[in-house]
Amino acid sequence: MSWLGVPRRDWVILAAVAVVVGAAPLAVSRYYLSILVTVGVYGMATVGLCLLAGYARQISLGHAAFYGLGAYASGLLAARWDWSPWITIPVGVLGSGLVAWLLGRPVLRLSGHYLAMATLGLGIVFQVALNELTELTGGPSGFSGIPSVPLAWLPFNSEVRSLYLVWALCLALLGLALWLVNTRIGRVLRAIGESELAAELLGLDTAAWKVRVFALSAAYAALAGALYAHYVTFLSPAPFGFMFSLELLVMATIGGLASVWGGLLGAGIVVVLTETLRSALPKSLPGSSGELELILFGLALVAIMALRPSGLAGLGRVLLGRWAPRAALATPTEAVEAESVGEAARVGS
Amino acid sequence: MSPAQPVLRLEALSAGYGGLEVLHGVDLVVQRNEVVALLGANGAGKSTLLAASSGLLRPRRGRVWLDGAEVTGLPAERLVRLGLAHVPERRQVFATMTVLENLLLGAHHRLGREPRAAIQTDLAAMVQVFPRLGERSRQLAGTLSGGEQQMLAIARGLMSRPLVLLLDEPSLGLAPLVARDIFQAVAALPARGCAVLLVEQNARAALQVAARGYVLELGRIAAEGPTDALANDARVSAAYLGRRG
Repeated sequence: MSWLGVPRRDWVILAAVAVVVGAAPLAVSRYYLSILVTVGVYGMATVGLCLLAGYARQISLGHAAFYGLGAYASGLLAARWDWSPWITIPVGVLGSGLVAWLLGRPVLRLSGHYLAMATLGLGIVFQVALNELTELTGGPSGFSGIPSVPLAWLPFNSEVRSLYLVWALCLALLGLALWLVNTRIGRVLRAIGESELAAELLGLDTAAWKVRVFALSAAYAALAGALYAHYVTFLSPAPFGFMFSLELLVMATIGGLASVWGGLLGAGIVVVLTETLRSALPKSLPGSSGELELILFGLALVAIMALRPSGLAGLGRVLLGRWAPRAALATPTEAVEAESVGEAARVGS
Repeated sequence: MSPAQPVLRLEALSAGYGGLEVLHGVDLVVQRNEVVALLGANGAGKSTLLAASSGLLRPRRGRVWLDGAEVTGLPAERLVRLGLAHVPERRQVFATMTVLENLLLGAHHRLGREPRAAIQTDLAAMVQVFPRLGERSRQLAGTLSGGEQQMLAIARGLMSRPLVLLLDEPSLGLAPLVARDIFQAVAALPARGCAVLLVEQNARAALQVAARGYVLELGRIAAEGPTDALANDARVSAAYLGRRG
């Protein structure tokens, strides 16, 4: 019951999400479509972070920097040099992945709190650079004039075009992540996450794999950032600071770090919760300030984490009564191997 | 690759951590298809010796030879490919992965290089050695009992088809009957073409399983020889077998 090693259930959910998003413009207003675009952008970055932080269990407190790097690289190339976004986006993504790969070699020698500190430092350096390189980035006031991704041939308005572009890529990257975690690469990442010592003793090149998944998750973040840049058409350093790195981790954690779906789910919950509080609070509590919004948001996070420490992704499986152990994720060839083990057991006993 | 070539040879090996040298010039040999016991008190340097042999720890001086080729200073992941497997203390199974996934990770470097049939054959062989693993192949390793986890750790190490297995304290925390099963399995490994260097607190059991043994004291080899001779050695029996000499 699987295709490319991914259980059919995952493909069905993926297709269902695609249908819902595809039909959304028929049902909801432009305002809700813009929220959906944000969910798609954040979800993409968070899915990548789940591969790094949930599977390989390498923490990053600096992912906003890669998100920002993708955004600025693509935005600047398109706005200042008039390159087509179709070229600047891949350039931004590959460039960010390369930067992460180079930085990852020294940084990922660290682990635990030290890795968190180092990635935090990277994020801070990046934001300082955005503020200080005024010639290039426009400094704290940023720059505008970033072209939208040219999709004029699509018979929709610009919001719907952005929605479809962002979600097509988001779901494609989600599919890629689903495929990846079900191959032997996924097994290697989880092994590193559980015990680097044991993984090394089994002959896994743990250092190389950590750098690879770091670069891949940075590329996910960079694509999200680049799409964000061409969606809002204006960039300033503010959204690319430590708070956003933290927000990405929060989204991944409440969604469920050790699940690819957790990334998208967490992004959806956080964005919708933030928007709901922002629009509902002033109506129900006249005179309430932004602080109350933050307090309620924090309380909601505490409640979710207290009730479901492993994130909400597993909850869906529990509710559907379809909880299956990890073995259900084995590839067909592995399933054959599993059967042969079982047979051997029967023969042996 | 002559038959007389030892499968593992340590030559004047010294190793340590930071400013502390733990191992001072140890010479040790494991011949093809034999079980060698390594005894010693806590802190004698047994685990350090294994780490320095398997590439987890870079030796300070001396050399390591694997199957006739010098491998001093190579990283652990290279040594696995060359035929050395190290099953560390406290087993370190991947708790949130299934038994099958753990075993396949043991054969990771063989996937794609060897036909899948060869790996399947080895999986089946592991199940014959440890039938419990076959019954539980779909279960998460974290839900296994301590003894089953030890079996899994050994089987996972064997999935790399090693010439020599370094085994650190396999009976740690196990009930005596379970430990006996483990020792029986270890004793059968030479017949599968795998030599064993066995570090064990339970000296009596280790000396029964092994043909030869070494006693490590404060980072130096204090005694070595056939296990029956070691068992009768007054100092060894007083210190490790609890007999009065």
